[in-house]
Amino acid sequence: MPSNKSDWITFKIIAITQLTDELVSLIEDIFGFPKDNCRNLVENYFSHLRDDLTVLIEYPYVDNVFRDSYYFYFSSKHRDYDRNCIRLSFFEGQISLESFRNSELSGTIKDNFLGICVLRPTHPQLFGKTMLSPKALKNHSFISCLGRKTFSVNGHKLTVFSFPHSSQDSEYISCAETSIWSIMEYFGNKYSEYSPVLPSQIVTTLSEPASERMVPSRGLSINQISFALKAFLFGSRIYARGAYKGKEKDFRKILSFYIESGIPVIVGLQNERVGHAVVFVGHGIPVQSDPGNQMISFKLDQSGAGIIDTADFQKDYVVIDDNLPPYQYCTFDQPAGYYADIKFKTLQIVSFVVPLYPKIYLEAYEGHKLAMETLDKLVRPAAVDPIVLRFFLTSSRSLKATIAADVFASDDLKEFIISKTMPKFIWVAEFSDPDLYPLHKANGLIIIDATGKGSTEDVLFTAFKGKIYINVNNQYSIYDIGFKPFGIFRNNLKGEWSGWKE
Amino acid sequence: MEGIAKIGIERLLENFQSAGKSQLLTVSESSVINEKINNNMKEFKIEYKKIEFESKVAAEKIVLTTKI
Repeated sequence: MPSNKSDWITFKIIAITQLTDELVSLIEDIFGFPKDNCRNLVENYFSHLRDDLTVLIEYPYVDNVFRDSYYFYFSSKHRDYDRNCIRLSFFEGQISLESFRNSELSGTIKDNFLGICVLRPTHPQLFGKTMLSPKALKNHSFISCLGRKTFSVNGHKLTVFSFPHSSQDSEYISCAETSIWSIMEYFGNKYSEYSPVLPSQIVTTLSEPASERMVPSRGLSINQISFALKAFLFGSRIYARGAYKGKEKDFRKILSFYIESGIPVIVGLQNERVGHAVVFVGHGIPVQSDPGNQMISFKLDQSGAGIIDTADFQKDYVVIDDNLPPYQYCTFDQPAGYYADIKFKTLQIVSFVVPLYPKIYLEAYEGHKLAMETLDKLVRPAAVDPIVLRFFLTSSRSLKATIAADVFASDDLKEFIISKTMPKFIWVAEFSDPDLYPLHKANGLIIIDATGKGSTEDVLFTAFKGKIYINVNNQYSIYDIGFKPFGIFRNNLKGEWSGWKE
Repeated sequence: MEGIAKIGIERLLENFQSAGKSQLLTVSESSVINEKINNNMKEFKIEYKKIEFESKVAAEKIVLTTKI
């Protein structure tokens, strides 16, 4: 009995150096797009990947995200679109097709898996769902939000740690919807409170309050992006640059606080010609490792101590931009500096939306101020020694687990922090000095209740240079427990230090 | 469990106290500190509310569109 071409999955394995030739032929055969129209697209998209990778190509592949766009939009068009996709799976080193059927090699296949990329029949926006470990990149000197995702590849269940990426198809979903999809895919796979969403769910959610049709997509306003995230159970917050006239530094700081907190943020970019939405997911390994060279950001009012705020350090942000391959680098001042096209290169940050857990009531800006007031008025540090500050949000669970496992933290300090009752999320001001910071060590911290309203009762715990400060019924006691410097908290953003895993 | 931990912490604090490694601020000293912090926070929040309002107005004007 003759078989239909989609009855069987075809697998082919090749070295990444052969990928462009192989893929453009396949795209022409399957989707009908001429090779010459695809060659540059394919070559550019994969040029940032390491040269020693092996790629498993498979067709047909049912991608849930494209199938959703297909059923809700592309199938209603006059032109035929294939409903199937091509999937590429990436592996470190050399892997053969035979090794997939050799049970002794299943461990190697699992260990060497670096993620997937789906190709859709939507020329020129060919690249659909992409989940690639930063380890697959030639340059990965950064730290980033990463989530776990398991795929079934040629009979093996393989897991990758990545940030979800897709290019827009520019008809059913634009950059704004793609950014929402990316955020929801990340949180939905990571936390039980949220679920991944499909493009049609985003469109449907926004259709109700919209005064005109949502499809074909003409992009979204920053308010619509925030509305969608709110509908998907976040307590989203919008920060618009226009409100920070004369306080530009604070706007930059707030963005940095959230990125340091491991919260991916949708950033709105605009110039006089275009608007665009991207997701900031991490930052480069800072040039600031030597804070001795950094300027004092501000001085505390009463004690006069100088604060070197790491949020003010010059840094590269890691960006998920749906027009380009995942993990681009940019700076705050040139957020689209990685574009060759001048139309995009001059884009500037005009706003950002933060998908906050709904019970985080105290905002970054207020938490930071409360920490600085507490340091100044309660701890009263010496004016002569500059203090390096890192301010971030984290879960109390994560902080306690980190401090419990820290080999440098004293037992008494561990006991106080682990035994302290805390809400699910806390703001942490972590202190260090210019000598300790490059060694990834801290000598103090202030923990603030993220469900608080921004007053002294929200300060849960204070420790600085060997002493702890305890507030019982509005009366302070200071105990000299003599704790030594401990390891800085790094769990919010993953990188080489965590083996690129969660 | 929390009760047991509390006893543990209380004992720990007592140990530091009996070793002369603690300093209890008076109620009035403590309230001066709290007052200074809370008053500064109140002023800060008034200023921040203004920014929040302006942020809402600015966000209304920003429209992201795809032009590619």
